[in-house]
Amino acid sequence: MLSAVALTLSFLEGLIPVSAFMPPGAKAGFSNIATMFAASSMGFVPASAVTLIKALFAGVTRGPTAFVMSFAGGMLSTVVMYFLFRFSKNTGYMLIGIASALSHNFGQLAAACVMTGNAAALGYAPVLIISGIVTGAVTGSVLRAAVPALLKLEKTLVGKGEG
Amino acid sequence: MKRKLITKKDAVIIAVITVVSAALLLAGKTFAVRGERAVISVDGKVYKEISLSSVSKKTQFSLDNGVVITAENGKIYFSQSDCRDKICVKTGEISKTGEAAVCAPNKTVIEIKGADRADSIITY
Repeated sequence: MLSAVALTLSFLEGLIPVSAFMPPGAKAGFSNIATMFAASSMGFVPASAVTLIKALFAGVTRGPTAFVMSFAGGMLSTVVMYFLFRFSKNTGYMLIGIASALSHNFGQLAAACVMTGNAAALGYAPVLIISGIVTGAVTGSVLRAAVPALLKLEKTLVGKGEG
Repeated sequence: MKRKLITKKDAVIIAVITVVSAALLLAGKTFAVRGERAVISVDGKVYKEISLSSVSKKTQFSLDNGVVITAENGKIYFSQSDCRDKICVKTGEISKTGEAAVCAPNKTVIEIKGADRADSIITY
């Protein structure tokens, strides 16, 4: 269910003409909202599952490189957000969003470095850090706004045995 | 206690990261110097080195992996690539030392390096 949400969000994101004002490689990362919800309310395994399905989808639609990049960034990001949600009660949604966006970018750059056999991909880091701060703050805030509704939805679905 | 959207401590952390990274980005842009060489690598191995200052006419390099790289006026860029995301092409022209353009699907990297040690002569 959540994976479907993630895929839909990432599809919708593709429709937004961001390329004009976004640095190359940067994305809004809306599908991370679904991963973050899974990490915050369901646990590490469901969150990883969402990440894996997202990466498989990227792989099917955009090729094997996209799978590796999506999975590397997604998993690092999932680990970071899970630990923050689990062990740091005082960290707000916005900072968790930013931390997960930055770790996502870093994981992807690391994957790009491994794949190209060259550290040059790190040259993309500075712009991605800035865009990660902005998009992370947005996704964190959206998640905060959406959590009550999502929890309700989850309860209804689980109650009906469809969860 | 319910998790907040943002705490004072978070705000400070976010502000610090933003300022530091923005400063680094600006400093990088301001102090970047024009590079002398462009190194094209495929799959971690150097494929070609181009002396940017000696490229007078528009020159194109077609690689067998579907990438076309163009050099002109001391700048170099991915002009074509058969990859899906085209991040390499969107990166645009690069010319300053330390800049790089990467096509991960085709494992191709262009890096700008400083002058060759052999021919870099510093005059005081």
